[in-house]
Amino acid sequence: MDVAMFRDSGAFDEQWYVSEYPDVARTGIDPARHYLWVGRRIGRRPRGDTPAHGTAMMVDVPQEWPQSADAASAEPLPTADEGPDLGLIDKARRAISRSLGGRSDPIHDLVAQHFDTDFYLTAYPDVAAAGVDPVRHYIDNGWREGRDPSLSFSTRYYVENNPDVVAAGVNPFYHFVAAGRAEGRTGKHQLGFRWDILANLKPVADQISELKSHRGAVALSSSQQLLADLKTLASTPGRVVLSFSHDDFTKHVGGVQLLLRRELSLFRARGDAHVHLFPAHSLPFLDTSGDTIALGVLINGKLTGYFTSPDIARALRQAGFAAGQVRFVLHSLLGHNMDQTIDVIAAAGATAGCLWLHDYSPIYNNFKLLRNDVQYRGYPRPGTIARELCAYARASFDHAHEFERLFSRFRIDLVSPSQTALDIWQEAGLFQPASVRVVEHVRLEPAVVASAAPIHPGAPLRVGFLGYPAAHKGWPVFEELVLRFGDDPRYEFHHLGKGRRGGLALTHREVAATADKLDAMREAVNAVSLDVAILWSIWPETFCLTAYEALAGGSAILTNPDAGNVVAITEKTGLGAVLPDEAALYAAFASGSILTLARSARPASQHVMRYSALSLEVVE
Amino acid sequence: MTMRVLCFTSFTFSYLNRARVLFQSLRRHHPDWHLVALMTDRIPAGLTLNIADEPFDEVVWQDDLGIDNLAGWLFQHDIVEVCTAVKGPFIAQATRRNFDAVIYLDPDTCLFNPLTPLLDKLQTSDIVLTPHLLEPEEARAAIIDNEICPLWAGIYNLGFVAIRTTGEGARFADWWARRLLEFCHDDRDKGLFVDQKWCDHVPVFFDKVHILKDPGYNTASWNVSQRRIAIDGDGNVRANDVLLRFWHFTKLGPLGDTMTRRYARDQIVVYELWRWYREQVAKATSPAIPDRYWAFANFENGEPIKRSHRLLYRERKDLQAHFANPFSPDFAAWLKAEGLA
Repeated sequence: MDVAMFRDSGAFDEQWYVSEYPDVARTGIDPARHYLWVGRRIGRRPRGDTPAHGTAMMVDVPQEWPQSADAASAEPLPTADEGPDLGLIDKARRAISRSLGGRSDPIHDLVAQHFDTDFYLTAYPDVAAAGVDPVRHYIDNGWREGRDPSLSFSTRYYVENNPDVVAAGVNPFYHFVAAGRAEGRTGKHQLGFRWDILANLKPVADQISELKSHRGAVALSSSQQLLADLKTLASTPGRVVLSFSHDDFTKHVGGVQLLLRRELSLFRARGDAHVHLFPAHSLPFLDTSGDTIALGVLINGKLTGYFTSPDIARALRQAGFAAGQVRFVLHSLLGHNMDQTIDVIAAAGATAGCLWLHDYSPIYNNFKLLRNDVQYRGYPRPGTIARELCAYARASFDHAHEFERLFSRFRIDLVSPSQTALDIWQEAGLFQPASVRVVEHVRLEPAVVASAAPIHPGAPLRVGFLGYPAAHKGWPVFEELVLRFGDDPRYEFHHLGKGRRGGLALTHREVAATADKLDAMREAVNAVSLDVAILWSIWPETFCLTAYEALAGGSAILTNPDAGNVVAITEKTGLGAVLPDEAALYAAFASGSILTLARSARPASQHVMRYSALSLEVVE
Repeated sequence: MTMRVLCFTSFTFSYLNRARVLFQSLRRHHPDWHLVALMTDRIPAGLTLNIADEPFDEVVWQDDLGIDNLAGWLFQHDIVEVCTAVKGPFIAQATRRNFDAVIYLDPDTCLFNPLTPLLDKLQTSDIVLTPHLLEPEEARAAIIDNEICPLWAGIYNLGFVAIRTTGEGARFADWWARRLLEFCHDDRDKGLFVDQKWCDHVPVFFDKVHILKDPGYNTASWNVSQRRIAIDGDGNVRANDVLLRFWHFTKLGPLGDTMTRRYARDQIVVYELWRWYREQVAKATSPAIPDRYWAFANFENGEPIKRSHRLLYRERKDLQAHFANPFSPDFAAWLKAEGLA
């Protein structure tokens, strides 16, 4: 009742609120509810004409607005269609009084005082989508599901390390804030983010069966139409590119997907036809189960339908392509089956093509080349302890053995987006491609670039994380930086990208590149005058478009020695630093030595991005 | 000249899984060593122990050690005491066999690299011991756990000892065997801690003793706070920049996890080693062995033996004389009649 009452009270301007705080719409939470749960806690205003931090007073209710659950449980929330009720404020006051009086829940009240609603709702979007009171959700279900009430408390850690609390059946976070902390118990482990990754890592077989258990049925199309379309292509003069990747690049947005869109248009501009195959269900491994794979088929960028791999092979064979008419381009075979892929390529009459090294899946089961998802220390050679320790190497299959069949069957040119990735490929020394070539997706070229924002010497160093907050991209390291230095006046933190994370003292700006706006990230970096981008990838990036965007946007880069091409581009441009490890990063922020990377303290970065012709540079 | 090495571990069937993992690692790194499983137990019903299928070459049972009044002697020890006690008589026996060196490793250790430098050390030394701790601790909690604990439990960790079968090595083996047959007790008040505390005397009593201060040996939760564990560029694992030779996976379970977390802190490789080890042990587990099985845990009538029963029998010569086989229902009945069951 309180939310509806508040919405209609006149103290809240929904339109203004949504426009002023664009992240609200993305949470999917009703704006008034968002304000009560999140906004007011983080100092947001309910209307444009109110001073910050003064909102609750405006509507003449107790400063601590009651948690919605108590009131809501007493009287159901009205639907959005219900009109304003002039008596609502009085009714709400009575509900508040009841909830603070006789029906007061000390556990709820104490948990709510220390609970980070913003963190909870962004970390668990299902809770946000359900529209329930997050504190009540945590108390009733969340803690049992291992969810955390804030960034500074790990429910799982506390439960595992305090069996007496579990035995007593007390909510662990309540116990911690009410007693545990004073008793000297710790709320969170100090074992680092890699420990969490390892603790959650499942054996490969379990990962695969879990992913497959969530799959729905695929509606397969009649292969007659496919055959007709392929016959048309076969009878038309010109080359046909048979392309493979891990998903539908026309639907998903990401670095590789945008490159594929660009590549498609370049091929089309050259007069080549483009047939693209992707697995109906994605999988971060080759599918070695032997099951027939369902593939989506895009012909010249348009979805023809989903077909079984053998049906596609049959149609390609019957289409009657001329010898040499079809060349293949393998961007990724994750989710594909190798034997079925070989059959499809052979059915098209193709004998040669190229393989992109966007990731390391051709040489290792972990496509990021990480040992147990936690660390990169070179290619894990067979017979080494590094490989023996890795859950990925202990799978029942070996990607390298799978790719061996591909290499022994076709003439394959290897295309690497960076020399760094090619060096790693050559270090592994597994296959002999017909040729190897480095084709950078983007090249940085010197140019005079006007700085978008004036440079203020002495202003806080603007430090940013670019992209989706993923562990292998170093988000936990950035998060730790914000937690340690968020209130340090020398620094100002920014997150540019999708997937806002709450509970951190930073400014988030939604940035997503589209086919029409490829350089959205560069623009965003420029717009906020970012001084330093923390590109702390823990895997050897084969390219990392973001690094180029950061540099072209005028930012310097901070990275670590394992970050692959990010290291190479940082060293090549001299814009930034490669620090030995996380301890050195935190130390550089503590001492302030990192301030030398401020825009005001260095020459302006003067680079523009030039996009390459991708596979067209290799496929004649 | 290649050294002829006998390597053994001492355990009961509930530790067969761990011992298998150790022996597999020994086979891998030292295929020429003679591997002995020293077992103080009886084969559980339903389990077939076929040596040809096991990663060791020989089983030596408690019955093979020439111990007088074996049943009474066994009864005087709990499982930890007895598994450490038998190390003495066996190591002495092994010195009289056709080997140049005898190495003992606890069943919960595992090799990651060959022990070749140890063999080199045995060219000039007759006894090699590894201390629990190689340097002083700084943090108070670590001083209590890692410095004070060895003050009563023993400076050297007897999860490992290596000896030459001749000279001082043989002399040590005979002395240790005699002491362990009579005094291998967990009795802090008397200054005893099984086989381990005795070895504090070793550097004084014997010559040609080498105290191995290589951090690659016998790394465990009690010393990992002083060892930087990392994977190197060759994919090998190092402790303070030297190759990790063997890890002591002490206390597989929640307690071991707690101690590891406390002292390994954010050293991720340590947790990866543990994760791997846990999987290997699970793979090496025979489901036919009942949980916490030990043939000498109960009286012959199936009633559990309490530690107090063992201590009473250990102290009372009259009981030892009267109940030559204290596992018999007679002794259980006597205890019951005395209100001690």
